[in-house]
Amino acid sequence: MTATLDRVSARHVVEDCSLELEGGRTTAMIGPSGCGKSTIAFLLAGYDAPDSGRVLAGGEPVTGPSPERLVVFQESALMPWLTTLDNVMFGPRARGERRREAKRRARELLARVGLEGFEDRYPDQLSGGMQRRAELARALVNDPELMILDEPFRGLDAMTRRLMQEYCAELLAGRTVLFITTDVDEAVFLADRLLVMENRPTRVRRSIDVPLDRPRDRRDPAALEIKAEALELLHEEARRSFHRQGEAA
Amino acid sequence: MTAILRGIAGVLAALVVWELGAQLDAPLLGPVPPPTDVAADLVAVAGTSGYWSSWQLSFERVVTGFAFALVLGVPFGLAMVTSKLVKRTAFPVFEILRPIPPLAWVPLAILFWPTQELSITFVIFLGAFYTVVVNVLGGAEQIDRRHLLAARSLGAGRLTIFLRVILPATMPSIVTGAVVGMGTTWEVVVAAELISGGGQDAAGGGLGFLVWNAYQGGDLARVVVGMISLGVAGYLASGAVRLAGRRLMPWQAAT
Repeated sequence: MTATLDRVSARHVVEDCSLELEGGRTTAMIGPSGCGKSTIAFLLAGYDAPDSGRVLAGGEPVTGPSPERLVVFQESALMPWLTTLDNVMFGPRARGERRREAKRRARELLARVGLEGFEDRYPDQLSGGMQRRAELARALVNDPELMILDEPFRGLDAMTRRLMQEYCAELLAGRTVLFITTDVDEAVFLADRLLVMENRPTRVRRSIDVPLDRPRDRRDPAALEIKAEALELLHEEARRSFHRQGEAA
Repeated sequence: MTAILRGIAGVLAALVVWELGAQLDAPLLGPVPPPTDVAADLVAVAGTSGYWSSWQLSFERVVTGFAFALVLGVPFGLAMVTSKLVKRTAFPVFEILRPIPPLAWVPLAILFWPTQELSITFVIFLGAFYTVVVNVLGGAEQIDRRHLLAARSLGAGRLTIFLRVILPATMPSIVTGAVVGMGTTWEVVVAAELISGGGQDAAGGGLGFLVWNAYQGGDLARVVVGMISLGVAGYLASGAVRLAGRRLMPWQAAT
């Protein structure tokens, strides 16, 4: 599914912003924090409506939340009162799928993310990395057309983060994904295309293709080159907003 | 195990301080009958069936009043949480009624209800009701917005969101409200049982009445027996509610 923002303004943060997420590909959105990336995630999820412009998913206007467009939030948003299995079954059960079938599929997915044997644990009994994997499973079990991951690995230690990136590369292959991050390394490792964002108002500064083979090697010279280009842009952007803050003060 | 021993040590220490204070005529504690006198009176009163029927009577009243507070307070609180209309209409009335002490309700409680028992239960109910509602409201403010958003995205309707998100998210506060509310019912039991004229004998009108009656008769040791009985009863009742709460929230015990 292709998702589009067509000249969208919202919440006085995003102004006249256009972008397209190509079907079956992972698009990484990078930019300094506080630049309205989450606002864009909320618009695509249907939690917010734009003040002007159009938000389209599969050519249809987005009018509200839908299981076809799921968000994986910053830090864990698993429900602490449900076991891991019940969390993953939440979507299918909420939509009336039979318990037995929902359970079977949830177990299958938990096994895929390496959480076999942890089905009956509560989220607070899982490590940070396990929580994120459970959360990926909770979204994937619904087979959504669009997955929106809003800085999903924030707060994880470096090693767990790398591991999670590898899980993601495998689990999200072939899906339409918007991956929001502040980490260029992560973006280049996971995405088919980078959207480097600019601040105030939030817009796409530049779109950079990442035409690298998978599985990816983080030390690939071509990857390093793309990283350098993105970093240069981000640095410029940071400098500009820094000076603007100076003027405002 | 050490926790239990420490608890016992704490109770013993309090008793020693009390005994010494009473014997040495210390400020505050001087006029109070020492624990030894109270213990003697407790032994005497424990042999009467009236004392134990007071326990039973007070427990029946407290449990009934408390049950009504939960059955009415939790849905009322949740209704204010889920509907702005309900909250805007009912909250001001609730907030004006809330600071009125249950004791002040005694005259009206007598007028409201046809029987003495109902009047007493009503006053006890009031003691717990406000606490329960306030805690439900406070708990709802702590609902994580992302849980609501995630539930909506995953396709949950209003009923599912209520049963599987709002209710469990508020459950810790409901239980806290219930535990504190159970404590409050015992606090108001003396006031409530003022309504009662006593039972088959002076000790049989409920533990609250026992205190009041002993005070009227100038029997200080008996007053203290009644006070301690109320304390122990409240402790047991709140403990039972806390235990039940833990049962309702296995996810909290798990960590």
